[in-house]
Amino acid sequence: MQNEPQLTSVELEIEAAFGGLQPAKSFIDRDKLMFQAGQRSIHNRTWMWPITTALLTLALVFSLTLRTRPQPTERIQMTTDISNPSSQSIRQSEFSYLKIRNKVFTKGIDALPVQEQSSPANNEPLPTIMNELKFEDS
Amino acid sequence: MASIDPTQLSNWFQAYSDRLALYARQWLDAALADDVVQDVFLRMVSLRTQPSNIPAWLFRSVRNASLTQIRSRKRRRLHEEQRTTQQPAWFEPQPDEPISSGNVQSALELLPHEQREIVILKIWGNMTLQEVADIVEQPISTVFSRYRSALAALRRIMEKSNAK
Repeated sequence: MQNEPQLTSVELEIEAAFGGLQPAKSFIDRDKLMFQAGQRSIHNRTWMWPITTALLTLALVFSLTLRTRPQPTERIQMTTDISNPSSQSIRQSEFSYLKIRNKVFTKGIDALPVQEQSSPANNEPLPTIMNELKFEDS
Repeated sequence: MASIDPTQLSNWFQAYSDRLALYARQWLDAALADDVVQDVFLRMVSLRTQPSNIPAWLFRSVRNASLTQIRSRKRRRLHEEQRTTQQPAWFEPQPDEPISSGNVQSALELLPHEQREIVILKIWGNMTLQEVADIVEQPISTVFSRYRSALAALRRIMEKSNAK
Protein backbone atom coordinates (compact mmCIF):
# COMPACT_ATOMS: atom_id res chain seq x y z
CA MET A 1 0.00 0.00 0.00
CA GLN A 2 2.79 2.45 0.89
CA ASN A 3 4.47 1.86 -2.47
CA GLU A 4 1.28 2.40 -4.44
CA PRO A 5 1.03 5.58 -6.50
CA GLN A 6 -1.11 8.25 -4.92
CA LEU A 7 -4.10 10.06 -6.39
CA THR A 8 -4.53 13.80 -6.39
CA SER A 9 -6.93 15.40 -3.96
CA VAL A 10 -9.48 15.94 -6.75
CA GLU A 11 -9.26 12.30 -7.75
CA LEU A 12 -9.66 11.25 -4.12
CA GLU A 13 -12.82 13.37 -3.87
CA ILE A 14 -14.30 11.76 -6.95
CA GLU A 15 -13.37 8.36 -5.59
CA ALA A 16 -15.07 9.11 -2.28
CA ALA A 17 -18.19 10.46 -3.98
CA PHE A 18 -18.64 7.35 -6.10
CA GLY A 19 -17.77 5.13 -3.16
CA GLY A 20 -20.78 6.48 -1.30
CA LEU A 21 -23.11 4.61 -3.63
CA GLN A 22 -24.20 1.16 -2.50
CA PRO A 23 -24.27 -1.68 -5.03
CA ALA A 24 -27.77 -3.01 -5.60
CA LYS A 25 -28.73 -6.09 -3.61
CA SER A 26 -28.19 -9.31 -5.48
CA PHE A 27 -31.08 -11.73 -5.80
CA ILE A 28 -29.05 -14.68 -4.55
CA ASP A 29 -31.00 -16.66 -1.98
CA ARG A 30 -28.64 -16.77 0.98
CA ASP A 31 -30.42 -19.65 2.74
CA LYS A 32 -30.40 -21.74 -0.43
CA LEU A 33 -26.72 -20.99 -0.89
CA MET A 34 -25.90 -22.05 2.67
CA PHE A 35 -27.90 -25.25 2.22
CA GLN A 36 -26.08 -26.10 -1.01
CA ALA A 37 -22.77 -25.23 0.60
CA GLY A 38 -23.54 -27.61 3.45
CA GLN A 39 -24.45 -30.38 1.01
CA ARG A 40 -21.29 -29.82 -0.94
CA SER A 41 -19.07 -29.89 2.12
CA ILE A 42 -20.69 -33.17 3.28
CA HIS A 43 -20.26 -34.62 -0.19
CA ASN A 44 -16.58 -33.70 -0.09
CA ARG A 45 -16.18 -35.40 3.30
CA THR A 46 -18.14 -38.59 2.45
CA TRP A 47 -15.84 -39.33 -0.43
CA MET A 48 -12.82 -39.32 1.82
CA TRP A 49 -13.57 -42.55 3.67
CA PRO A 50 -14.52 -44.71 0.68
CA ILE A 51 -11.41 -43.57 -1.15
CA THR A 52 -9.26 -44.24 1.88
CA THR A 53 -10.82 -47.69 2.33
CA ALA A 54 -10.36 -48.53 -1.33
CA LEU A 55 -6.71 -47.49 -1.23
CA LEU A 56 -6.02 -49.53 1.89
CA THR A 57 -7.77 -52.56 0.37
CA LEU A 58 -5.67 -52.25 -2.75
CA ALA A 59 -2.53 -51.98 -0.68
CA LEU A 60 -3.51 -55.09 1.29
CA VAL A 61 -4.27 -57.14 -1.85
CA PHE A 62 -1.04 -55.96 -3.40
CA SER A 63 1.02 -56.94 -0.39
CA LEU A 64 -0.66 -60.36 -0.17
CA THR A 65 -0.01 -61.19 -3.81
CA LEU A 66 3.57 -60.09 -3.64
CA ARG A 67 4.30 -61.79 -0.35
CA THR A 68 7.18 -64.24 -0.82
CA ARG A 69 6.66 -67.89 -0.15
CA PRO A 70 7.84 -68.97 3.26
CA GLN A 71 11.41 -70.09 3.13
CA PRO A 72 11.83 -73.79 3.68
CA THR A 73 13.05 -74.29 7.16
CA GLU A 74 15.82 -76.70 7.73
CA ARG A 75 15.06 -79.47 10.07
CA ILE A 76 17.63 -81.80 11.37
CA GLN A 77 16.14 -85.24 11.67
CA MET A 78 17.97 -87.86 13.54
CA THR A 79 17.87 -91.19 11.76
CA THR A 80 19.25 -94.50 12.86
CA ASP A 81 21.69 -96.29 10.62
CA ILE A 82 20.72 -99.93 10.47
CA SER A 83 24.18 -101.01 9.30
CA ASN A 84 25.81 -99.48 12.36
CA PRO A 85 26.16 -102.11 15.10
CA SER A 86 26.13 -99.54 17.89
CA SER A 87 22.77 -98.23 16.82
CA GLN A 88 21.48 -101.81 16.80
CA SER A 89 22.62 -102.38 20.30
CA ILE A 90 20.90 -99.12 21.39
CA ARG A 91 17.64 -100.38 20.01
CA GLN A 92 18.15 -103.74 21.65
CA SER A 93 18.93 -102.08 24.96
CA GLU A 94 15.81 -99.95 24.73
CA PHE A 95 13.74 -103.01 23.89
CA SER A 96 15.12 -105.03 26.83
CA TYR A 97 14.55 -102.08 29.17
CA LEU A 98 10.95 -101.79 28.13
CA LYS A 99 10.51 -105.52 28.47
CA ILE A 100 11.90 -105.52 31.97
CA ARG A 101 9.84 -102.53 32.91
CA ASN A 102 6.64 -104.13 31.78
CA LYS A 103 7.50 -107.28 33.74
CA VAL A 104 8.04 -105.24 36.86
CA PHE A 105 4.72 -103.47 36.33
CA THR A 106 2.87 -106.73 35.93
CA LYS A 107 4.70 -109.07 38.32
CA GLY A 108 6.38 -106.80 40.76
CA ILE A 109 9.96 -106.04 41.71
CA ASP A 110 10.82 -109.72 41.91
CA ALA A 111 10.58 -109.89 38.18
CA LEU A 112 13.81 -107.99 37.87
CA PRO A 113 16.47 -110.31 36.39
CA VAL A 114 19.36 -111.24 38.56
CA GLN A 115 22.55 -109.80 37.24
CA GLU A 116 24.91 -112.54 36.22
CA GLN A 117 28.43 -112.21 37.40
CA SER A 118 30.72 -111.74 34.52
CA SER A 119 33.80 -113.95 34.13
CA PRO A 120 37.07 -112.38 34.96
CA ALA A 121 38.10 -112.82 31.40
CA ASN A 122 35.22 -110.76 30.31
CA ASN A 123 35.91 -107.36 31.60
CA GLU A 124 33.49 -105.70 29.33
CA PRO A 125 30.80 -103.85 31.22
CA LEU A 126 27.23 -104.97 30.86
CA PRO A 127 25.52 -103.30 27.97
CA THR A 128 23.65 -100.28 29.19
CA ILE A 129 22.09 -97.45 27.32
CA MET A 130 24.69 -95.02 28.49
CA ASN A 131 27.46 -97.40 27.48
CA GLU A 132 25.89 -97.96 24.14
CA LEU A 133 25.55 -94.25 23.45
CA LYS A 134 29.28 -94.03 24.07
CA PHE A 135 29.54 -90.37 24.88
CA GLU A 136 33.07 -89.40 24.36
CA ASP A 137 34.75 -86.99 26.59
CA SER A 138 35.70 -83.91 24.72
CA MET B 1 -5.44 -22.65 6.50
CA ALA B 2 -8.33 -25.07 6.77
CA SER B 3 -11.31 -25.03 4.48
CA ILE B 4 -13.95 -22.38 5.02
CA ASP B 5 -16.66 -23.01 7.60
CA PRO B 6 -20.34 -21.99 7.32
CA THR B 7 -19.99 -18.94 9.54
CA GLN B 8 -17.10 -17.60 7.52
CA LEU B 9 -18.95 -18.30 4.29
CA SER B 10 -21.97 -16.41 5.55
CA ASN B 11 -19.82 -13.44 6.56
CA TRP B 12 -18.04 -13.29 3.23
CA PHE B 13 -21.35 -13.59 1.42
CA GLN B 14 -22.87 -10.77 3.41
CA ALA B 15 -19.86 -8.53 2.83
CA TYR B 16 -19.18 -9.19 -0.82
CA SER B 17 -22.13 -10.72 -2.68
CA ASP B 18 -23.52 -7.35 -3.84
CA ARG B 19 -20.11 -6.03 -4.89
CA LEU B 20 -19.35 -9.24 -6.75
CA ALA B 21 -22.71 -9.10 -8.51
CA LEU B 22 -21.99 -5.49 -9.53
CA TYR B 23 -18.62 -6.60 -10.86
CA ALA B 24 -20.15 -9.46 -12.84
CA ARG B 25 -22.89 -7.28 -14.23
CA GLN B 26 -20.50 -5.35 -16.42
CA TRP B 27 -20.36 -8.52 -18.54
CA LEU B 28 -23.57 -10.35 -17.77
CA ASP B 29 -27.22 -9.64 -17.15
CA ALA B 30 -28.42 -9.55 -13.55
CA ALA B 31 -29.69 -13.15 -13.35
CA LEU B 32 -26.58 -14.67 -14.88
CA ALA B 33 -24.36 -12.45 -12.77
CA ASP B 34 -26.10 -13.78 -9.65
CA ASP B 35 -25.63 -17.36 -10.85
CA VAL B 36 -21.93 -16.79 -11.40
CA VAL B 37 -21.50 -15.23 -7.96
CA GLN B 38 -23.40 -18.09 -6.33
CA ASP B 39 -21.26 -20.68 -8.10
CA VAL B 40 -18.10 -18.91 -6.98
CA PHE B 41 -19.20 -19.04 -3.34
CA LEU B 42 -20.03 -22.73 -3.67
CA ARG B 43 -16.64 -23.33 -5.25
CA MET B 44 -15.03 -21.66 -2.28
CA VAL B 45 -16.64 -24.24 -0.02
CA SER B 46 -14.97 -26.99 -2.01
CA LEU B 47 -11.51 -25.57 -1.53
CA ARG B 48 -9.33 -27.69 0.77
CA THR B 49 -7.56 -24.60 2.10
CA GLN B 50 -8.72 -21.03 2.29
CA PRO B 51 -7.11 -18.58 -0.12
CA SER B 52 -4.72 -16.19 1.54
CA ASN B 53 -6.66 -13.22 0.16
CA ILE B 54 -10.31 -14.21 -0.02
CA PRO B 55 -11.75 -10.98 -1.49
CA ALA B 56 -9.19 -10.99 -4.29
CA TRP B 57 -9.89 -14.66 -4.89
CA LEU B 58 -13.61 -13.96 -5.09
CA PHE B 59 -13.26 -11.15 -7.60
CA ARG B 60 -10.76 -13.09 -9.69
CA SER B 61 -13.04 -16.13 -9.75
CA VAL B 62 -16.07 -14.02 -10.70
CA ARG B 63 -14.04 -12.41 -13.47
CA ASN B 64 -12.90 -15.74 -14.87
CA ALA B 65 -16.37 -17.25 -14.66
CA SER B 66 -17.97 -14.20 -16.27
CA LEU B 67 -15.50 -14.17 -19.13
CA THR B 68 -16.08 -17.89 -19.65
CA GLN B 69 -19.78 -17.23 -19.90
CA ILE B 70 -19.36 -14.31 -22.30
CA ARG B 71 -17.03 -16.28 -24.58
CA SER B 72 -19.67 -18.86 -25.21
CA ARG B 73 -21.42 -18.05 -28.47
CA LYS B 74 -24.75 -18.93 -27.10
CA ARG B 75 -24.27 -16.68 -24.11
CA ARG B 76 -22.99 -13.86 -26.29
CA ARG B 77 -26.19 -13.88 -28.30
CA LEU B 78 -28.24 -14.02 -25.13
CA HIS B 79 -26.15 -11.21 -23.66
CA GLU B 80 -26.86 -9.00 -26.66
CA GLU B 81 -30.54 -9.76 -26.43
CA GLN B 82 -30.65 -9.11 -22.71
CA ARG B 83 -29.03 -5.74 -23.11
CA THR B 84 -32.13 -4.56 -24.90
CA THR B 85 -34.37 -5.67 -22.08
CA GLN B 86 -34.65 -3.67 -18.93
CA GLN B 87 -32.13 -4.64 -16.31
CA PRO B 88 -32.17 -3.82 -12.61
CA ALA B 89 -30.17 -0.78 -11.56
CA TRP B 90 -26.56 -1.27 -10.53
CA PHE B 91 -26.82 0.84 -7.39
CA GLU B 92 -29.35 1.28 -4.63
CA PRO B 93 -31.13 4.60 -5.12
CA GLN B 94 -30.89 6.72 -2.01
CA PRO B 95 -32.81 9.83 -1.06
CA ASP B 96 -30.81 13.00 -1.17
CA GLU B 97 -27.85 11.27 -2.75
CA PRO B 98 -25.10 13.79 -3.69
CA ILE B 99 -24.72 12.16 -7.08
CA SER B 100 -27.41 10.35 -9.00
CA SER B 101 -26.91 6.58 -8.93
CA GLY B 102 -28.53 6.36 -12.35
CA ASN B 103 -26.09 8.89 -13.76
CA VAL B 104 -23.17 7.01 -12.26
CA GLN B 105 -24.35 3.78 -13.83
CA SER B 106 -24.73 5.49 -17.20
CA ALA B 107 -21.27 7.02 -16.86
CA LEU B 108 -19.74 3.66 -16.01
CA GLU B 109 -21.41 2.03 -18.97
CA LEU B 110 -19.82 4.63 -21.24
CA LEU B 111 -16.32 3.82 -20.02
CA PRO B 112 -14.10 1.42 -21.94
CA HIS B 113 -14.36 -2.02 -20.48
CA GLU B 114 -10.79 -2.15 -19.12
CA GLN B 115 -11.29 1.15 -17.27
CA ARG B 116 -14.73 0.24 -15.93
CA GLU B 117 -13.44 -3.03 -14.50
CA ILE B 118 -10.65 -1.28 -12.64
CA VAL B 119 -12.97 1.43 -11.27
CA ILE B 120 -15.45 -1.14 -9.92
CA LEU B 121 -12.68 -3.21 -8.31
CA LYS B 122 -11.00 -0.17 -6.79
CA ILE B 123 -13.98 1.77 -5.53
CA TRP B 124 -16.64 -0.83 -4.73
CA GLY B 125 -14.42 -3.87 -4.39
CA ASN B 126 -12.08 -1.99 -2.01
CA MET B 127 -9.12 -3.57 -3.72
CA THR B 128 -5.68 -2.03 -3.60
CA LEU B 129 -4.01 -1.15 -6.87
CA GLN B 130 -1.74 -4.17 -6.51
CA GLU B 131 -4.70 -6.47 -5.96
CA VAL B 132 -6.46 -4.98 -8.97
CA ALA B 133 -3.32 -5.50 -11.03
CA ASP B 134 -3.20 -9.16 -9.96
CA ILE B 135 -6.86 -9.70 -10.79
CA VAL B 136 -6.82 -8.09 -14.24
CA GLU B 137 -3.31 -9.42 -14.90
CA GLN B 138 -1.84 -6.06 -15.83
CA PRO B 139 1.15 -4.13 -14.50
CA ILE B 140 0.36 -1.81 -11.63
CA SER B 141 1.48 1.19 -13.65
CA THR B 142 -1.01 0.32 -16.38
CA VAL B 143 -3.76 -0.16 -13.83
CA PHE B 144 -3.02 3.17 -12.18
CA SER B 145 -2.94 4.97 -15.49
CA ARG B 146 -6.26 3.47 -16.55
CA TYR B 147 -7.78 4.25 -13.17
CA ARG B 148 -6.82 7.91 -13.35
CA SER B 149 -8.13 8.10 -16.88
CA ALA B 150 -11.39 6.51 -15.76
CA LEU B 151 -11.82 8.95 -12.89
CA ALA B 152 -11.20 11.88 -15.22
CA ALA B 153 -13.69 10.51 -17.73
CA LEU B 154 -16.29 9.94 -15.04
CA ARG B 155 -15.81 13.44 -13.77
CA ARG B 156 -16.35 14.89 -17.26
CA ILE B 157 -19.43 12.76 -17.83
CA MET B 158 -20.93 13.68 -14.49
CA GLU B 159 -20.25 17.37 -15.03
CA LYS B 160 -21.86 17.17 -18.43
CA SER B 161 -24.92 15.33 -17.12
CA ASN B 162 -25.25 17.74 -14.18
CA ALA B 163 -25.07 20.68 -16.55
CA LYS B 164 -28.10 19.42 -18.50
